[in-house]
Amino acid sequence: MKRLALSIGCVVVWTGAVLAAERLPVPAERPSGSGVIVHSDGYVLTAHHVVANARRVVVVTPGEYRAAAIVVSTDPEHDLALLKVETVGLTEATLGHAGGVRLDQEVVAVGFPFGLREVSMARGRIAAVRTKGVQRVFQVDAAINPGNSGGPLFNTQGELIGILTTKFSHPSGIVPEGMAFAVPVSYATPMLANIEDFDFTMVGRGHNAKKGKKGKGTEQESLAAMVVRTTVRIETARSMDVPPTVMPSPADSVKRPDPAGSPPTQGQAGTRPPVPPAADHALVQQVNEQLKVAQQEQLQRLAQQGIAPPEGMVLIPAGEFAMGAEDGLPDTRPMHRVYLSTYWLDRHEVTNRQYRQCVESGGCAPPKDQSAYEDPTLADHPVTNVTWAQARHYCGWPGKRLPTEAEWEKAARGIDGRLYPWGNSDEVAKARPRPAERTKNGTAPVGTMDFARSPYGVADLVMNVSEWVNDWYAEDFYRSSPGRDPQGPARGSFRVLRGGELSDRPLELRASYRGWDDMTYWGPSLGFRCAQDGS
Amino acid sequence: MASRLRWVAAAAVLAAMQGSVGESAPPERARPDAGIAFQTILDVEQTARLLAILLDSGRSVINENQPLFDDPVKVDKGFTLEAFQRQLADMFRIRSGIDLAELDSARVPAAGKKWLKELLEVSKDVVKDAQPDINRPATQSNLIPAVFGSRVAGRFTERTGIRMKQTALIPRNPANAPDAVERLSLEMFAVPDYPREKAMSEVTAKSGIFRLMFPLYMTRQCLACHGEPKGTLDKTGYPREGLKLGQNAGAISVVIPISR
Repeated sequence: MKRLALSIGCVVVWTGAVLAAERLPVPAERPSGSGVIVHSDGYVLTAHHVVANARRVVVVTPGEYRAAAIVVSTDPEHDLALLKVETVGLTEATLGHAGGVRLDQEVVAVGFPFGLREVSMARGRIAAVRTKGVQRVFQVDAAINPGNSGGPLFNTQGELIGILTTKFSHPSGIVPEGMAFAVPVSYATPMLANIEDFDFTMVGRGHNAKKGKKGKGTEQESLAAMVVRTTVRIETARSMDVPPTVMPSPADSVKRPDPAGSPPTQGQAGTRPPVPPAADHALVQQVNEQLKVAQQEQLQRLAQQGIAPPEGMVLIPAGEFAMGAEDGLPDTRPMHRVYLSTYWLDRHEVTNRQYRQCVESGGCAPPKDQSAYEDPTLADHPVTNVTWAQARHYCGWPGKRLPTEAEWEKAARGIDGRLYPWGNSDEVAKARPRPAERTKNGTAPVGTMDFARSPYGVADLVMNVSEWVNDWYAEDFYRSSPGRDPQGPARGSFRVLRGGELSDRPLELRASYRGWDDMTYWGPSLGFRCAQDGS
Repeated sequence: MASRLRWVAAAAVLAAMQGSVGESAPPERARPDAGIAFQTILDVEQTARLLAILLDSGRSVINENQPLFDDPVKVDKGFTLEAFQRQLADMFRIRSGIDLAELDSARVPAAGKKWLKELLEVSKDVVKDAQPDINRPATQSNLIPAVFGSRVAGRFTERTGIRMKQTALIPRNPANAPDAVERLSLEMFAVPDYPREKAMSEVTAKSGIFRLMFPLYMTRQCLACHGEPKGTLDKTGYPREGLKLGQNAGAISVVIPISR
């Protein structure tokens, strides 16, 4: 019964679609994909790539009602996005239980292939389940075309079980037929939880559960009609030349005493405006002053609460900063804004002297190569030849921890997206002392290079040794990094190292530069420092 | 009404095809082998991923101890079963977040726990059997990660029926040559901008067999045998591949038949 009712629907719809091809409208917004109404208040679930990079998003609901949509939240990792329109009288789809979806079960894909005005329904089966990294998808053998993206996949009870994403891609470049992918709807749960009164108790109850039993003859017809009513067309106006994450002006979270002066848009897409060095220097100084004031104010507040700064640590107040770089190496892209809670960071790298205390108290294992560590003239030089695990262990010893990659970078470059701790001048980097002018192991005593001090007053973040931080390394992490206190990828095989060494070229001395190494590795230029939560 | 008539006709045809005499055969009977549920697949995937991490953790431990094994003078290397087990548990905990000592209370599917324990036992057996080889003054030990991996994988397959295999596009051991599915994944891993550490898996409705490909990357210790200069012989007598640090160096393939 079910199958027949649905197949009749299909025939009718396909005829309509063929006719519609001849009168394709040309709106200002161009067809981009499909979506599904998941809440009658106007919440629409779709694929992230349908609305990515869009300047305007328009949702066309059944009956050709067009409404501008806002993007409520996105999940690029799973290719999902939640939109909201202010349209009334919408029919919402019932969510199914993705865990119960079975291989080889019958499904119906609904959408607007090629942005045609008529909705299409395509039947198929779940042919396979595939994983690529964290993304698990149902492979559906239905006829899916561009424009179906973001559209719903229903089971035969009319429950939403997936969102259509991309097609299978083969290195040969051939686009295969009947191998479409859908994201299981369970991955949308965190987004749907943003909807105020979303009723998760209805999940998996079937579409008739809330409306009561109807006559059996009309049930399947109403099912077909229902799934069509819940499916929407999405059109977008996009600007191809704007990078995916549009950065707000880097300095606008700072109080600017001089409102007339427009901040330079530093670090954007490699097009650094030609700011004369003197003017650039003045702006950098201005930001430095603001950061110092903010830091002092918060220290005073803490002092009033009777909280003394931990010894040898610098306070970095909470707030946003610009992380990454557009004109650096691929793993620093895109430049994105990150909010960090208040934290403390060691003013200097951990020295041989400090590390020795831990070793002698039995808390730490000695460095893997002890020649520098044993040299009494190098006691105030950073400890080197320690593995990532040793670094983490040392920090845990007095109740601290390794900083995250984001914490390291914010401490090094402040909030304005500058290239180096001192500003944007390559000349300073080029004029640095040569390793040969330094001591025998190529490091300097901590805190002796004043020119490299960061805007918060943290010393030697770049220039002395590379520092282990807590995060696993992933080249593409910035593309999916959370905007608040990012902790790095959940797993990996290399740990991040931040901060160039004296022997490095200026590119590697930039505050945005990301190094990495095997966590069991140690070397004469690898050290670390510790951090601590602010509250 | 028309659709109702058609349905009756379809049911009759179906019944005739089945050779069934009774009229009231429910439609579900036509497909007694209802497909594998997505939740089951997620459980199997987690299990396969953990098995791959455990096998690779064992390889890493063997790898890190190469300088010790190769000590030309020392006879008792002190690489006891306990030392191996401790290092393996450490490595596995760091990489997977799961403590093998507290496996019973970890959030791992029941079958996964059983198999992880089995793989741990097999790994220990292999190290135990290799003790005479480790504890002799040698300039080159025979227990290298690849040998460890294939011994463990072979014994594990015998015991559990789960196939594990180290594979690469150009393997040194012909037995490790990839099949069609493995080759496709390996080719994707080999593209430099393929995201790091992203495993691939599939289970199709027709096969009912779960397959996972878990990518491996060149670490510092790998370089001694597989790095530059390309073509020169390494300590085992094979020509070096000229691979670079961080480059994809193959994968662990896991094949689990899912019972219906």
